[in-house]
Amino acid sequence: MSAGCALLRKQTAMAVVLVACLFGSALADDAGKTATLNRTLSEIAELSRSINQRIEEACALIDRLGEQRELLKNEINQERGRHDIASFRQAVQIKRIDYNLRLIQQLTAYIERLNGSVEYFRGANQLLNFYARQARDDLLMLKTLQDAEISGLMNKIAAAKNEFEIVLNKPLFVASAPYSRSMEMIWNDILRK
Amino acid sequence: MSENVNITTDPPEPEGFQSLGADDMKDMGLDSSGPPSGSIVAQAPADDQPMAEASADEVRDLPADPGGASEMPVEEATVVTEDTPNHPEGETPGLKGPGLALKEIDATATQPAKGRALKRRRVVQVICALVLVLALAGSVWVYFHRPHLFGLPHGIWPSTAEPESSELSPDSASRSAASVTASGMSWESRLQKVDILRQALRAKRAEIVRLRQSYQYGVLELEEEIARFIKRTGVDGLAQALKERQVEFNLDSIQRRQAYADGLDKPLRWIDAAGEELLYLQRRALYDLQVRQAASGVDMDAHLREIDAALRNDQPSTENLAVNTASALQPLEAMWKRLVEQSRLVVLTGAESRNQDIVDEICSGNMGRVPELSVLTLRSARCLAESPAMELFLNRLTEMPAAAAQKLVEWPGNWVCLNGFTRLAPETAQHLFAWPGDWISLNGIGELTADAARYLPAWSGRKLELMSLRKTNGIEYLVQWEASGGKLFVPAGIRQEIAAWRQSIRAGTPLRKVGP
Repeated sequence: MSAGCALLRKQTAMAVVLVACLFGSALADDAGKTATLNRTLSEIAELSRSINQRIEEACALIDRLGEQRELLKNEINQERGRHDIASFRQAVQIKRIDYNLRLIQQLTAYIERLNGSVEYFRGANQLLNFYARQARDDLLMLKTLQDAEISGLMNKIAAAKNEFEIVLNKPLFVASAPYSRSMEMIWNDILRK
Repeated sequence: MSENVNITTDPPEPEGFQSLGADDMKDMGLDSSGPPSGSIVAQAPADDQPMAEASADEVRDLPADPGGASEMPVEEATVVTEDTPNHPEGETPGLKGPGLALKEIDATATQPAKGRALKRRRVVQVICALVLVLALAGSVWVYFHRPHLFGLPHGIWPSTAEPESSELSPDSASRSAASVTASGMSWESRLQKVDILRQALRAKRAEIVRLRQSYQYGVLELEEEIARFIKRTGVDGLAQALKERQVEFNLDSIQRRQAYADGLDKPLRWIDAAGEELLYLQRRALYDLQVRQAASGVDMDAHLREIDAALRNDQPSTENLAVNTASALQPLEAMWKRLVEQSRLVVLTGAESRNQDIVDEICSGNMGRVPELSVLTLRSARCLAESPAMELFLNRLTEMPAAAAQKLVEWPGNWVCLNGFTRLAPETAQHLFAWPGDWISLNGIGELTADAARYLPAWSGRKLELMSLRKTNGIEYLVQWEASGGKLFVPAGIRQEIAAWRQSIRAGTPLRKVGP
């Protein structure tokens, strides 16, 4: 065996070792990304469950408050018929109507705010689903091509998760904020129906 | 709820219990104020060291030094030998020279009898002390938990339970508001207080309404009397009428009763406003109670303050229910003019004066001539309604004014006979079928209109006699009332109609639709 051959064999062996090392590191890198994505997907699923739970909670409250608002409206209509009332000015002279309008104003504000919360959480779920879809796509990419850039997605998901977790730990709405609809507007709504 | 927690938690041990025990321990020469970890025995004074248990402990703690044993008190050594039966005979644990121990026992040979007596005395003392402590502790417990055994009232132990919150009667709701605003009252009981107060207000309202109706009826009664006087005497000038003292008194009474009735509007308005306010505050708090877990900024304390203030202010107190005494009296002239008009509608029967005598008798409690009554005036209706009779035979009556019928149905009797009626006006039927009695006889009625019959299904009575009934367009109401358990006495022709109607209902094709 010539010295050149020996050198070539040595070089080949070194190249094989180098390629093996590089491939191994790439494999290890891909495995880390896959694990990260899988973990993120399960975190998204967990967060989504919490959000759905909050939505259900808000919807149940909206339904309950809505029923109570209807009862108040019915009472107003009964009083309206009984006292033959046409104008708002006349209406607020009747204590039951006046108080019921105030209560409807309160319930309407609560329901609107709860609806806002529900909307927000539905939007949050949509965003999370969107990110989850992208994460699954990236997983497929990783599986097929052994490479995918996921840091951008991870950052976005982390920011979204952070925001939603903060909101999830907050109350659904602020009860003390001023009411958006005046009593007269509510009275007119009742008249229109 | 914190209240519940308090209720179910055992009350703290009374201080007296602990101090009594400590004193008692001191009395027995056992100092309980020593280090908390020390046993009674360990705290015993140095000169009490010979106590058996203490000696044993200390002996066990001694280093295995034969020299140390010489300093050991005699009794301790004695006990050591007694407490260590497993050691081989002639060997003292921790002591290498068996002869030494034996020597010491020998040296104390004269002591055992004295030591045993001392030990027995100590044991008896300890047992006595424990019995005394237990007896005292038991007495203290009984004192606080069964105070009646000492002749003390129940509940001397401070209770955290709410004061009869759920058993308050409407009347008791007017009590001082102090109990209502007691701190620690739960939302549930607070809202219950609101309910109770609203109930009390409603009851008071009904009472006032009844009073007002009574005044108004009294006014009508006197007006009817004056109208009849005008008709009877032909006196239609006020000045001339006022010469009759009875007329003057009646007019004066009408004015006063009317003023009373008007004055009651003020407390009624106050009750309505207070009731509405309470309902509003209750509902508003309830809505916020529902959302407070889900929302921020819910100020339940503000609700609390407002509800407590309302519970204080909306009590049906004398001040709040004050009658408006400034009601203007009705002018006499206007009143007289109206009465003259009313007198024109009065129909006087030939038996008017006799009827008047009968009414006077009824109103004085003599019911013997009730069947002779031919006109039901408002006064006679009131007197009949207030009578204790269980049966009224008013077969001479041919009609009944609606106001008189309304009063008569307040009579709490069983059977009323109105067989002189030939027709039943719908407004009379409305009142008659609201009567809470059992049996009505209307055997003079030939025709019953649907307008009158439609009130029948709501009547709670059991028997209705219509034995002259030949014609009715309200057969479905008769059927309905019978179906609800009433017993109807009608001629055969009507019975056949009823049967036909029933059959048509069963077949699913009623002969005629029930009117609205």
